[in-house]
Amino acid sequence: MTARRAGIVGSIGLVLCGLGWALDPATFALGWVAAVSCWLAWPIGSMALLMIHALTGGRWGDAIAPCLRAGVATLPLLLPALVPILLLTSFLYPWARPGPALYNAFYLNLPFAAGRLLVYLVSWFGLFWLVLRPRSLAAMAPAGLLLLAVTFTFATIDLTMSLDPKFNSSIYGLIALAGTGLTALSVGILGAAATAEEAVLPDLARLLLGTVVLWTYLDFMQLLIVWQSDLASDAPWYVVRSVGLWGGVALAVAIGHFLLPFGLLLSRQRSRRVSVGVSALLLAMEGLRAWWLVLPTAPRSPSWIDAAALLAIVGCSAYLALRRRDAVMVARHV
Amino acid sequence: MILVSFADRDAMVHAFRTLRDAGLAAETYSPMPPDEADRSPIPLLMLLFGLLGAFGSFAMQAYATTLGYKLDVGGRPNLAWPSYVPCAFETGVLFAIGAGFLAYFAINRLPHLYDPVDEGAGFDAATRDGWFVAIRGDTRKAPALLEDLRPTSVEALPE
Repeated sequence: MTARRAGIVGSIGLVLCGLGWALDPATFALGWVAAVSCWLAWPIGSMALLMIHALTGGRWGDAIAPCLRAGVATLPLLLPALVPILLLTSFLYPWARPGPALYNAFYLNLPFAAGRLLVYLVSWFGLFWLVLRPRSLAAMAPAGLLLLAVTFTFATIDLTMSLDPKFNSSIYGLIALAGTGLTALSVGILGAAATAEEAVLPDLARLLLGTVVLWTYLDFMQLLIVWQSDLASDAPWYVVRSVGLWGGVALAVAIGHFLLPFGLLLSRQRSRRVSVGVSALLLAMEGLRAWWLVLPTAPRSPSWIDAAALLAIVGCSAYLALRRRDAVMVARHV
Repeated sequence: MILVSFADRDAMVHAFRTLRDAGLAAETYSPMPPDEADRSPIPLLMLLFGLLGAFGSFAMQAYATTLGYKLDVGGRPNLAWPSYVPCAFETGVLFAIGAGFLAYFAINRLPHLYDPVDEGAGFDAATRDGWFVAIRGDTRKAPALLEDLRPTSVEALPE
C-alpha cells in the first residue's frame, strides 16, 4: 500500500521532471545531479553499514539490517538515473565542453570519465549482488569496504566536485562518505523506531551522534583549510555558497545538520521521539546540503524543477525499498 | 548508622525514596547507577563550563586579533572566526571534562579513604550484586519504616 503511494509520488515527480527537462534542460540537469547525489548516499551507506556490521556485530545492526537491505535494493535506480546525466553532460560539466584545456584535463576528460563510470558500476553492482546474497558477509566485508570507499570517493569527485573543475579539496570524498553513513543510519532509525526493542534505540542514537560529529569535523575542516589557504582556485567555490540565499542555506545546514542534532542527541538520546525527529531532520538537511553543494554552480536560485527531481528520486527509491520490504514480509507469512 | 540491603534495584530505590521523604539522611550504594533515584548536577555543570570554555576561548582570540594585536595576514579580515573554532572547541572540551572531574570528586566527598559504612557485613557486594541504603545521623524513625520495605538484612554500625 505504502509502496504504491511512493510509486505515485515518484511518477508525479518524473512527469514534472520530463516537463522541466523539455522547458529548461540546464536547470533540470543541475537539479537532477543534486537529487541523485543525495539519494546515492542511501544505497552506498547501507552497503557500508551492512559490511561494517558483518565485521563488528552488535544489536544495533540486527535492528536496522532489514532497512539497510531495503536501502541497498534501491541501487538499480542508478542505471535510469544516469541517463539524464549522460545526455546532459555538456550542460553540466565545463570540462566536457570543447574549449581551452584545463591543467587537470588528464583526469577530467570524457573517455577517462566513461572508464571510471564503468569501474564504479561494476564494483557497486558486484557488491550489491554480494551484500544481498543470503550468506555471511564477514569474509568479503574488508575488501568490499575498501573498494566501496575508494570508488565512492572518486565517484563523488566526478559527480559533484567536478561541476567546478577548478575546485579541489582532498577531504571532499571523506565528507561524502560520512554523509552516506549518516543517511543510511537515519533511514535505519526511522524504519526501526517502531519495532526495535527499548535498549537498541539509544545505541543507534549514540552511533548517529558519532557520525554527526564526524561529518561536522570533516566539513568544517574543508571550510577552514580553504579559508586559510585562500587560493584563487578554491575560495570562489565558498564565496558563491556563503553570500545571499546560499549563505542562509549554509547557516541553516550548520544549525540543522550539526547544532540541533548534536545538542539533542547528546542530552536526550534515550527518547524515541528525539531519535526519530533528529533522523528526519538530518535527512532533510542532507537534501538541502546537496542543493547547496550543486545548485550554486549556476547563478540561479532553486526552482520547482529541483524540487521535482528530488520528489522523483525520493519517490522511486522509496518505492523500490518498500516493495522489497513488502516482498520479504509476504515471504515470511507464507 | 543503619545499613540495610535489598534484593534488587527497584526495592532499593523505593526504600530510598520512602526514607528520604520521611526526612532521614539516606544514601544508596549499588553496582549500577540507581537511575532516577537522584538527579546529578554534573551534566548541567559540565555544559555550563563547556560553554564558558568555548566562548571564553573564542572571545580571547577575537580580542587578540581585533583589539589587542591587529595583524594583516594576507588581507584576511581581522575577525578570523574559522580559525578560532578548533581552539574554542578544544578549550570547551577541556573545561567540561575538568569541571565534571572535579565536581564528581567534590560531590562524592573524595578522596575519602575510610568510612564506617565499609565495616558492614557483606558490604563489598555493593560492587557486584548488592543493593544497599545507609541511614546516617538520627535513625530513630528508621525501624518503623523499614518493616514495610522488606530489606534482606539490617545492620547497626557505629558512626
